[in-house]
Amino acid sequence: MEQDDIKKIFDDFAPELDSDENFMAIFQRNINAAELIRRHSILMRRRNKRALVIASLAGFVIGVLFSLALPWVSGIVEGIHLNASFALQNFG
Amino acid sequence: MTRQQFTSNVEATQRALRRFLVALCCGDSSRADDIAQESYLKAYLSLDKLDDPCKFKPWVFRIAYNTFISQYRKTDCLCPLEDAKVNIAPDIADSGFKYQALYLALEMLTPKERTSILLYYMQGYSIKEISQIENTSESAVKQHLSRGRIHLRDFIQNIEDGTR
Repeated sequence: MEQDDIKKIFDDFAPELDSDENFMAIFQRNINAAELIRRHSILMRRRNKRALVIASLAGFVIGVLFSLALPWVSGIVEGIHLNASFALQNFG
Repeated sequence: MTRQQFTSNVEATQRALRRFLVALCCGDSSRADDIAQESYLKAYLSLDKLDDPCKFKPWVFRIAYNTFISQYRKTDCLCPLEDAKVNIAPDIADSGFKYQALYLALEMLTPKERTSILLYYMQGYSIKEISQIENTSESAVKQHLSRGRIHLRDFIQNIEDGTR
């Protein structure tokens, strides 16, 4: 029977392979390298997240301070504008 | 699954996987080992996708099959065995020759036919399991098996003629 013949062919199939120890040693090396890269990428993600949080907080704080100081800042800007107009009128 | 459990699973399945891949690669054992290493690495990096640890072996076989197919598509064709003959080292020439006729017969099959034949006859998977590994329908697997048997018929006939 053809099916039995094919099964027998592959039952008898025993190719020469590199030793199991060598294969597992290479496997462990690959896994160690993958773990190293994974740990590094986790570290980088944490650092980037920290930088993002710091930048967001800094932006928020500066925004709040600027909003609080806005009336005083507006006054200074208006003063500079008036002085500039006066200088242009008299010396322009 | 912990790393230790994964390593134990690899130790238990690597021989069968490599034997399957050597036949799939028509005797190129170094290529088979490369695919096996790449497959186990991919499996390790996507361990969270394995729902049932008992299905580790068919899951790894599926990854290995996909890895083989993507490599095959990149290279577009396998190196003919005639070209590889000159590269066989003298000390392994005898062992390489032993299965040369089988490798030539397997090379006559398409990758999907070869995979189906090997998974069915060598690994003992059912048609349903093979369809899950190949991500195809059961009727397609049956077709691959049928065509594969037809192509291997000549090889079997030569063996029978040789034994008479």
